[in-house]
Amino acid sequence: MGKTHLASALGHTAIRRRLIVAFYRADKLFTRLRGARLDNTFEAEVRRITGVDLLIVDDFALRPLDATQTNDFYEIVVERHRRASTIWVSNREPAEWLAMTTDSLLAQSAVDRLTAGAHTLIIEGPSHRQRDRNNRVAVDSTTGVNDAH
Amino acid sequence: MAAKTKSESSEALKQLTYLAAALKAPRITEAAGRLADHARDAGWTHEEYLAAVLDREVAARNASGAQLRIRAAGFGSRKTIEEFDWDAQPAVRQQIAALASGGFLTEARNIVLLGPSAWARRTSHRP
Repeated sequence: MGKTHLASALGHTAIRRRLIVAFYRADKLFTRLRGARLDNTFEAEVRRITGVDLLIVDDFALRPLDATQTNDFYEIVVERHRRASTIWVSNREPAEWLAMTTDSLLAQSAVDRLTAGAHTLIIEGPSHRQRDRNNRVAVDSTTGVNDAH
Repeated sequence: MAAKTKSESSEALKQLTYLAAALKAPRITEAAGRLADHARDAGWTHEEYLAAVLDREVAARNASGAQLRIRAAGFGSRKTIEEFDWDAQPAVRQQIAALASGGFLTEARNIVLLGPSAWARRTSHRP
């Protein structure tokens, strides 16, 4: 079972506690918000997305975030900070997310908030069980994205 | 005498059907009829019988509420925590068990789940 499965499974435990959960793939989440901007329902859409008891964002920072997406990322984090839990699922560490955004200052502010007091779990892929922190960068390079650091 | 009791109880059940519909709790009708005989045989008190009937409605509502919430959530996977392959992730086993207790939700703490993407895993297996 990978990290998406684990995130969903944790979502199911929240369902059992009678909570409202929303699971989004990051790209679809940003597409929704982009559409909402176009038809002037952005505020309502943000409320809908961030108003749930548990928000799960899958495959975050798999691809670079443009300026709008970076803003939306910040918005979501700030809206939920200390109010409700969010599960961020990514193949990159939060420190690496900054380089995937257009505004590393804004992103840093979001990352600081979302990682404050957060539980961090590293789920090993079936073929990378022995991986340690150092060669995770090597694994990331298989996605074709070069790390800036 | 027995016949009279029977007609009285069927009259009461009819009224129950109406009342349950008015309450939008249709399962009460079914549970009331089914549990009535059992309650008489088992010598339940009125309170015990009423609690048992209402319990069915509440359990059913909770279950259907959970189904609705699961559908609304749009999960990427239907797997529950019990189906997690613990042996494949010994390093995080305890962490996951702690998270499954739900403490992070009441504390509004986030979870960052890191690992190679499914896509990276697939491509890394390619020759």
